[in-house]
Amino acid sequence: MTKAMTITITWKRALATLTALFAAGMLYAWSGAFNVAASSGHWPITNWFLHWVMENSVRTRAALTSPADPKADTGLVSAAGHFAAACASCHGAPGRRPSPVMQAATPHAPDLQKNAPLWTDKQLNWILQHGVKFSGMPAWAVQDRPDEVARMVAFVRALPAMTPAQYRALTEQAAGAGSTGTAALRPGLVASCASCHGADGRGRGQPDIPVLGGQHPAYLLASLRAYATGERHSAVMGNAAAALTDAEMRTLAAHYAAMPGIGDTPPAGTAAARALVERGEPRLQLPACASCHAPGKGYPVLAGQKASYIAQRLRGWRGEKEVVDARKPHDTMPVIARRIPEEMIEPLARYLAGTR
Amino acid sequence: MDADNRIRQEGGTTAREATIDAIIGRRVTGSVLPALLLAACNRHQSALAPFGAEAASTRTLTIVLLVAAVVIAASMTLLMRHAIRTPGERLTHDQGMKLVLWAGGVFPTILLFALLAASLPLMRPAPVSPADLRIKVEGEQFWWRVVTAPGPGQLVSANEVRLPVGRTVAIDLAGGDVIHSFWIPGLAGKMDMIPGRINTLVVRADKPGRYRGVCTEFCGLSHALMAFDVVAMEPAAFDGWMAGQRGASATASAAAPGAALFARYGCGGCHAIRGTDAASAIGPDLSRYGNRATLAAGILPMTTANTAAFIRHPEATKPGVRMPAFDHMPEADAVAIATYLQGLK
Repeated sequence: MTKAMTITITWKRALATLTALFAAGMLYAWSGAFNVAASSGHWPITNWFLHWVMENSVRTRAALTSPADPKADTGLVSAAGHFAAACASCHGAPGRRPSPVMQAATPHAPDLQKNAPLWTDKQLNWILQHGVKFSGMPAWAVQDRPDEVARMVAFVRALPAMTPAQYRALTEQAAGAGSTGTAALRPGLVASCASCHGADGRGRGQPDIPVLGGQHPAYLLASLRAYATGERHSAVMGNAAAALTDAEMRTLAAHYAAMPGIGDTPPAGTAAARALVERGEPRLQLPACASCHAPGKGYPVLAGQKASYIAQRLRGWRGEKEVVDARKPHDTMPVIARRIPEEMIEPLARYLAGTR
Repeated sequence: MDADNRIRQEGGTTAREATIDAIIGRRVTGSVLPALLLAACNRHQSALAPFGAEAASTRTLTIVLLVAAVVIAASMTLLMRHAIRTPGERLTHDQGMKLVLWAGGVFPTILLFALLAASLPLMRPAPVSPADLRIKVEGEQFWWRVVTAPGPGQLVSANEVRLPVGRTVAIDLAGGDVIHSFWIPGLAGKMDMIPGRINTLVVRADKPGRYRGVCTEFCGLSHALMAFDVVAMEPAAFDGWMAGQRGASATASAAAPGAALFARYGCGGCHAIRGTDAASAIGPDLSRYGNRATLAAGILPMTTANTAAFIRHPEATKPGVRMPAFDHMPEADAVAIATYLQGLK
């Protein structure tokens, strides 16, 4: 009979064992024996574990940090256009299969027509805003456009019931007659702009898409450049502008600026809004809007712009209340927008928009 | 002009320069003290170098109190030394009680009353008559709105107080946004500027020259960057200056390309220049800007480059400044506007 072997656990032995395990793990990682091939997929248990961790994380984080208004049903066109340009190649879309290339990823993106109902609005908002590590799902390209994210939540929510015809109606628009300059552009470029901005540059009736016709071409060009470099924050326009050459930007800016649109609408609205525009409010150190936004000056034309768009820009510049003053941006319009009383934003936007 | 600028620069960073001086002092002479004492030799922003009656009597009082304190401390030390060395039972109980009464009660009472009597008259504001010049100064984050002789024919300016030597001047102080405090160390004591009320400081300068004042009540991020120039002028020169300043700025620069850019960029939405369309009172009045010795409220020497840089990024010079950045303005435009402004004399 052999005597039963006993091992006494001491601090030293425990430490030596942990060190050996760590060394073995590092050796395994160093050796390259682990297979990172996307073609091999995950073991079912790995798959379950990763999903379980992800779902828990999204549930908890969304409950704690998602905005109170995670979804904005103000118009689906800009979100649909961005979806078609940036999301559909992985996720597919109504009537469109996802790219086989992207479906060969591990994990591959889910079909949102089936998958979207599994999440609440807040959870969708969180996933769109922050993305999901290790899964290939990117974060929203800029972190300070909650309005864009909220519109995309509304679009994803609408996906399961969306027919291919409805999707095409949202994402396609005939380019209309191009000006002479646009004839030289690559095929489909003006049509891709028009899918959101409309053939007439009026933004297809969407409250969040501005009227481009009649705007200063220099301002449109500067905006495109700023979107492309990321200086001006928008995932939607950033993605669209990043693909343009400078020559294309110049042609497009001139093309849209030459259309009829803003500039010829007389302002109309409340006396208080008119006072702000014409005289400002010195008590709040708020200069008159008209000291810059007036004919003959280089600043963007506002007369006849959509009120919803003006209000949205003003709110965006004001930023989050929680940010301490010293960290708020010091650019011209953010400084000025922060001085406009909250209750004056809507009347002011309506006054500038005028009778349109 | 160069010497002026250098002196002004010293005033802007006295504390830092004292530290730098101290380090250099240790290296060069092996002693920190002379360097610190030299740092106090600041003729344009010092309560010890008065150019007005108020500050002169404050300095006299300071010296009297300092000398008295030294004399009292020395006498007490000698008296204690004597008491410790004297053998016990030298005084009877009665003698001891008398000593306490006279040396510990009566003498200090008389002395303190004498010092009080000497200092009380300083607290009485100097008499001012309706005919005396008034200057209204309002503290704003982080600059000074200066109205000389308020009323018809008033002269609006910013960040520069000019006053005639030998005449009584009443300075009405108000806070435009938050509480500030107005102090020209060489002229008078400091006085708070409180929104909603007017505090009046009556002064009389008696030595012409260029001096400097500062804000001495924490008022925001750039409180330490809120100073102003003070120019004490001979009465005749002052009257001539007032008469010359009231009208429109020199017309020569109206044709400058910067004038059109000033209008095009909407600068007139906040600033005023007499004789042009720009008439807003939100920011500092820029009429005769070129006559000022400093910009950004006593912080930077008046150069075209400094003005152009300030226009595009004021927050780089003054954190928390109320003027927004004009990052979208090409540098050449900023230089053209700066050149135009400097031409306004």
